[in-house]
Amino acid sequence: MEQSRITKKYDLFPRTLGQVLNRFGVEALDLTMTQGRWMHDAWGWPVDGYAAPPGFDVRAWLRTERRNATTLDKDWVGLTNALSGLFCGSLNFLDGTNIASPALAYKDRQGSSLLDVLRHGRLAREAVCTENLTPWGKLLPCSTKAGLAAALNGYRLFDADYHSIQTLVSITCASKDSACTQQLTQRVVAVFNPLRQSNKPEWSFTSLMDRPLNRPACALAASSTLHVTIPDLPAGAFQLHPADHAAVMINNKQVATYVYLRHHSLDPASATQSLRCVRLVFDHPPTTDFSVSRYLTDAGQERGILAVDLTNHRQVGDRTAQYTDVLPWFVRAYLHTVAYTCYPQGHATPADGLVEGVWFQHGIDRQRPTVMEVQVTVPASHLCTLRVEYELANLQYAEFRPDAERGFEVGSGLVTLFLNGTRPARLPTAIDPKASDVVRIHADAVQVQLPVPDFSMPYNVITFTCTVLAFYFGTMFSLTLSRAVSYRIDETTKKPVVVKIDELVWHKDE
Amino acid sequence: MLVSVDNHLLGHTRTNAARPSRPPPSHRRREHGPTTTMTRTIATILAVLAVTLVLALPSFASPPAANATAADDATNNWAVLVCTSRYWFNYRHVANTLSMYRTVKRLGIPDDQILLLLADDMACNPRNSRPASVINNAEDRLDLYGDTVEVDYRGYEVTVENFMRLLTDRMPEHTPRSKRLLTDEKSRILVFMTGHGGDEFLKFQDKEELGAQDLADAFAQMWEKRRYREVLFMVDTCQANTLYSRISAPNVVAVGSSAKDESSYSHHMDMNLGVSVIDRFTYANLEALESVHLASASASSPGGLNRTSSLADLFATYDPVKLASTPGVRSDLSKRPLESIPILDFFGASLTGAKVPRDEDRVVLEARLEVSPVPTVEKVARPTEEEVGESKAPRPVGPVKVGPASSWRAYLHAAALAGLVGIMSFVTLV
Repeated sequence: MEQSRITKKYDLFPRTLGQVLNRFGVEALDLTMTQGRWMHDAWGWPVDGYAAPPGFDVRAWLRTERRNATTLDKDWVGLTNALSGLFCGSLNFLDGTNIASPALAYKDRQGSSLLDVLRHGRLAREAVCTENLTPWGKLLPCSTKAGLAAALNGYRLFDADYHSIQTLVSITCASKDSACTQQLTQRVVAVFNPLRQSNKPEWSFTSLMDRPLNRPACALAASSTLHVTIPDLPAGAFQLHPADHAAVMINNKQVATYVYLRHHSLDPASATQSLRCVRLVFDHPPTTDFSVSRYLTDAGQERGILAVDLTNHRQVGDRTAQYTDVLPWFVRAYLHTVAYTCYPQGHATPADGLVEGVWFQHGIDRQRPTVMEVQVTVPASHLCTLRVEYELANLQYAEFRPDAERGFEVGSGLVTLFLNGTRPARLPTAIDPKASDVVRIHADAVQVQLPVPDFSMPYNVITFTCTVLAFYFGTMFSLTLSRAVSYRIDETTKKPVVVKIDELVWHKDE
Repeated sequence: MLVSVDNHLLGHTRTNAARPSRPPPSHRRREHGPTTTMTRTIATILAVLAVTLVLALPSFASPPAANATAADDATNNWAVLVCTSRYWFNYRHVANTLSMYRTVKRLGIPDDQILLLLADDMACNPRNSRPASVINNAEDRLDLYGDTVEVDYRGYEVTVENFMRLLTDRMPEHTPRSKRLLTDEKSRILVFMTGHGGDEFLKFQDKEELGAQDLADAFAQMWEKRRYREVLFMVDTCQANTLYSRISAPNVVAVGSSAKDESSYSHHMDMNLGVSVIDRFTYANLEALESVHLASASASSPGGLNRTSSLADLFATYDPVKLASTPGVRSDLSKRPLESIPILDFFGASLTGAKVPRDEDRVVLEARLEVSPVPTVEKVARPTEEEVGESKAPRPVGPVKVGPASSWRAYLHAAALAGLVGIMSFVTLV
């Protein structure tokens, strides 16, 4: 039984999750279940500067005291199995072959002690559906029976252009070696498109979620508030109801605040009270000043080039970016082929880009993936391309998935931008006003097509081999059982008469 | 020219040739008196007889006590619902499985005791025009997915290995409880499988197959490990009846949707989704089961089933003309006749003596609600002294007969084994 520095109080923190974390020595955990890609060019920066990659993404910081690598591996297996049972996902597929411990990324999410080791695994193809939302909701103190979570409607949430269900556990310690507390943050990030439903640039909470906000707030909640970011439009261009709301400034943006009290609810029946916004003009989507594009190039199923385009749209000011990629073992990337070229925007002549450092862990076949982390500087108004060449391995017949023709998803492609005190333009309101100094952009997921074998070949080989063996065996068997003899035709009876060997070998004296 | 020649012709030749000499009988042997040799022979014969007796003994042993105890001995109900097909065009298989899931949940089996295995995700599939919902009826539009679905095995986890491990509970360490079939000897299990199948196999995800013999072995293992009291095995695939042909474990009732060389057909298509939404066999089951609800003892539709109906009533509703295939039932392994097994024994929770919960999902069509206790199940008439005697006899430890009651096989096996032992001891002696 390990001594844990974490005080265990399960009045608000869900016991199911807490006991799993305690049992396997997990200090911090990020688990996100996402479908869709955050479209930076259309939606700007994601809320809180952090968007999750598609699929299931798990990061766990495990304590290393009194645990060696073998115990850590076993505990990781236990953790992923427990989480897969808890969240109804196939997290048990994250074994040693597809998890990584990146050295540079996620440093700001580091646990309280530097002795923690980070293990990160991703299932890019995992579907997210109601069976993942239900257990997430059960972790809340009031479940989905009261509070804002009661308005979460799966039918509308899973119809959204992007949705991400996040469970984040972080740890804070008052001081070194003192008692620590774990905080659980549960988030749902979704991008709804009301134009798809109504074709009018207006929305109401009921029209978005198809569920009224008529449940009381959770009795255990210290506060329950709705924030609506006021759009950057002239005053007459939109109307927000109810109009009597408190307005606060968060991150230089105006935010309307509605307090969702226990006994007062935003009544949908009353037109003046229900939460809705009517816009009379469309506004331009916010732009980001940094964009990332990731793709595979070079044709063929034998080798290829993985390329990432980093574009700094700012006129002045370089950006430091860290690119982290975890490639599966069958995509063998070569360190000596890493190339970084920068082009001034609009020009075709390349200039050398500045690579500050490369951290590379080569993959071992069927044991561990390739982890590549490159820290680069992207000058202002430049487009920089980071390229690495890879070679595809041949998989064994049984290693292919049931839908083998679809291929395999490759890597994660994370770009971590260091802001160094400069906030990117038009970052929308963060719920948590504390600004973080990094922005994470998840690059596009790419898919690689491995040559698929003919799965009927083993059957063909067995059939053919057995036929050959049968012919061979039959012939040999009859040859061994039969004996070659000489015979002569008898003159009188005209029938064959076997000539005895003795007569052949030794001449009988007549 | 080669002519095959009889050996005796050759033997004729061989008598002239020098015979390879055998080593002369050792003089040491000759020194043993004739009595010692006789003793050894007698000892061998006695040993063979003793071994034969020991090996034949289990076939004389009484069948395990659990077989003959009263019919309402079970205390918990489990369901294992498997959809083995992947891809959007196999939507109906997922709909089949979810229909069964909804039915057993509605009739009382808790989610913890339902293992749902879906090989692909249809509800949140990008091709689904109704996000997060799965329908089984183009007119009804009832969503089977709902708010509280729990899928225990999804996507690539639905494999033959995982299914077999689930049944026999040979799971690796750290497998979560929600993924294990934690049944005991007082459990009734409904196993429902659907997908594409053929003669004595069921295809899992286009990659592998589950054979009828594998399935029979899994049930036999479950019986050995006392992991069930009774099983209802339902399968809706092409040539489904062949899949249960090899089951030999006792207390298994098996139902299949079509006979050998027959296909099972889908029922109808939804024009918005563009795929078939339910199979005929499952649709027939649902039509019968939808009229069963716990709150009322009479059926919601005239001529339908109610909560007191038996499995025989359910199977009698199958119409081979409507199904376009011949469903099959296997009841030879079951100790209870089908007429005396209530539907709720498998599709609902075992509620003998417990309060019947209100079924809030169904609209009760009668004007009045009957508040009647759960009717007792008719016990199969058996002579009481046999029942008492067998229930008191402890289950014998060691190999126990699993197969049907014919014992000539046991004798044959014992005789063969004895013969083999005899031959081996003879060879070692000589």
